Amino acid sequence: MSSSRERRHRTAGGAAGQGVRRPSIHRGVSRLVTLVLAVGFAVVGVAGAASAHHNTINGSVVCKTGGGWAVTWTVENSETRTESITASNRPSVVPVGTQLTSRQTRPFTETVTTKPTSPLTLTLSARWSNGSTNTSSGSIPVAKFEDGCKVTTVQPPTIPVIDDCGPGNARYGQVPSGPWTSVTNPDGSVTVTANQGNQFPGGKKSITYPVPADSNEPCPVPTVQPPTVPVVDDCGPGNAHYGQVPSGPWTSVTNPDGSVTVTVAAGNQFPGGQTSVTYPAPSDSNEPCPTPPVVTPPVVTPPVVAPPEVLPAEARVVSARARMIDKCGTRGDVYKVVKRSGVVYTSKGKVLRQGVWLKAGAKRVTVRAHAADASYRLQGKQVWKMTFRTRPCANAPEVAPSTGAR
Amino acid sequence: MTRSRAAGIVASMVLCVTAVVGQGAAHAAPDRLTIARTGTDAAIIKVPARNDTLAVGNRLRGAVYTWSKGDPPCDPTGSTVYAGHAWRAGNGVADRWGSLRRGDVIKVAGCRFEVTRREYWPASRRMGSLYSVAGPARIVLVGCKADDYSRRTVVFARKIGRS
Repeated sequence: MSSSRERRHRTAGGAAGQGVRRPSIHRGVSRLVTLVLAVGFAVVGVAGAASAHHNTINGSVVCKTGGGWAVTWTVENSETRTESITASNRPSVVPVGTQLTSRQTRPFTETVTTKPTSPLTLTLSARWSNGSTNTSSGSIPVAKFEDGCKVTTVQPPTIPVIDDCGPGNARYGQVPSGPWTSVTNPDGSVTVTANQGNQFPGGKKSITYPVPADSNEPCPVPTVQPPTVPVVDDCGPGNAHYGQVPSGPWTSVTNPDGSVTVTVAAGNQFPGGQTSVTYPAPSDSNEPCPTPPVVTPPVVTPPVVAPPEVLPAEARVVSARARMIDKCGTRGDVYKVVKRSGVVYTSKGKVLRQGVWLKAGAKRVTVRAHAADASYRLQGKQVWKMTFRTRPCANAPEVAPSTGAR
Repeated sequence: MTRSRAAGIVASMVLCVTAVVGQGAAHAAPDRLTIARTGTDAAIIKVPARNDTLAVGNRLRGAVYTWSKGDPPCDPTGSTVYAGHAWRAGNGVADRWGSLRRGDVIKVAGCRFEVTRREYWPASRRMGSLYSVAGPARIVLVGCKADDYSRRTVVFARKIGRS
């Protein structure tokens, strides 16, 4: 009769739920009015019918796979007109504003993970399109929640991250044991799924651990001691050089100036973090070589030169000389100019051969001596005028002497 | 002093040259002639020419004769003749000159000569050309052939230097 009047119904065949009709102080009056209207005022009965606007709420519960309980609420519109939910004590299940059409029965489900300690109740207030309102409830006794459906909330495991030195190699380690299973995904993430009857906080059945971030911490570089390169210093000056570089985790190169640069191989370092060490060009001890066997050079006798008669800085003074033999006749007349270095003899403009007897060829022969060049200076006689007599020779004996027996 | 020698000396004084003048007159006569191979060691005696022949003396041994107007032996040119006796019975200075061979050495007046050839000439062969004052310096030994006086042993030796 009034939208504010509340009615309590028993649920019509709800297996687990039970509708509850709320008692009214005007119950007797209402029945009386209804009876009056039924008897004499049929039109009032229509009005009385309007007071029957309500929702029949039934609830059922079953164990849910994986733990907890699955609760299904069914809300049945008792009228042939649309209603709209105006209030709900479980808005997450039946939100305010939910509409039910004419005589519609709509199911609403929810999952209950914690066993309730009191009957689970769904109370809905509704307004019908004709303006009627009603608040109806439905409850599920605690006994309907079986213990076997209990779900335990567990804390997700802490999976160690293994991050060796070097970049991009972080990964998850062994997943601690517990009521869960784990799987490593291709991208390196790990998904941990709670076993049946367990859940993670927030009702999560599984948690995916993202790919661990790599610290990119560089790996420590082993330090190696640079090699000792031997110095080869043979006897003699300026020939010191480095010998064979010992083998090791390095490469070496000899520089043009004789120094040697040793470069450590990748993944190693020299003390101080150095990657290369340059050995300066070795200094030579300049140790003299053993004295070679004495080889006596061949004695070369210098050409005999007439010793200069003056200081070496001056022109050499030389003397010239000529001889003649004047024999009888003319055939045997000869002359000779003495061989002298730095002297040139001439006769009638012709240079004379020195040191040999020359035929006179004439009664008079003039011989002149000249200095060969400016480095010589003649001393003494330089002109010889020779006269050869022409007296005939005596007649030589033609008969062989008598030198035999006497 | 002969006229020619005097003239030579004068010429030398005038021209200031060292001159050997005359047909052997400018040099002193060689003292000795020695031949090692034949054991010859003889004094050199200058003799004149007479009747177109060399007027040799009588000494069989130890002496050889040369023309007093002949060419000196150490001159750079000319030929000097030395004559010696050969004696069939031996003892002549030239008895063994026939045994000289090419290369044997003869020493005369400080000069050395080397035998170049040995010939036997008939006694009638003219030998004036052997006294030439020109030509290569040489000496000529002339002696009778010991076993044939109608022939002459003639040995030629060229000058090879001072002793």
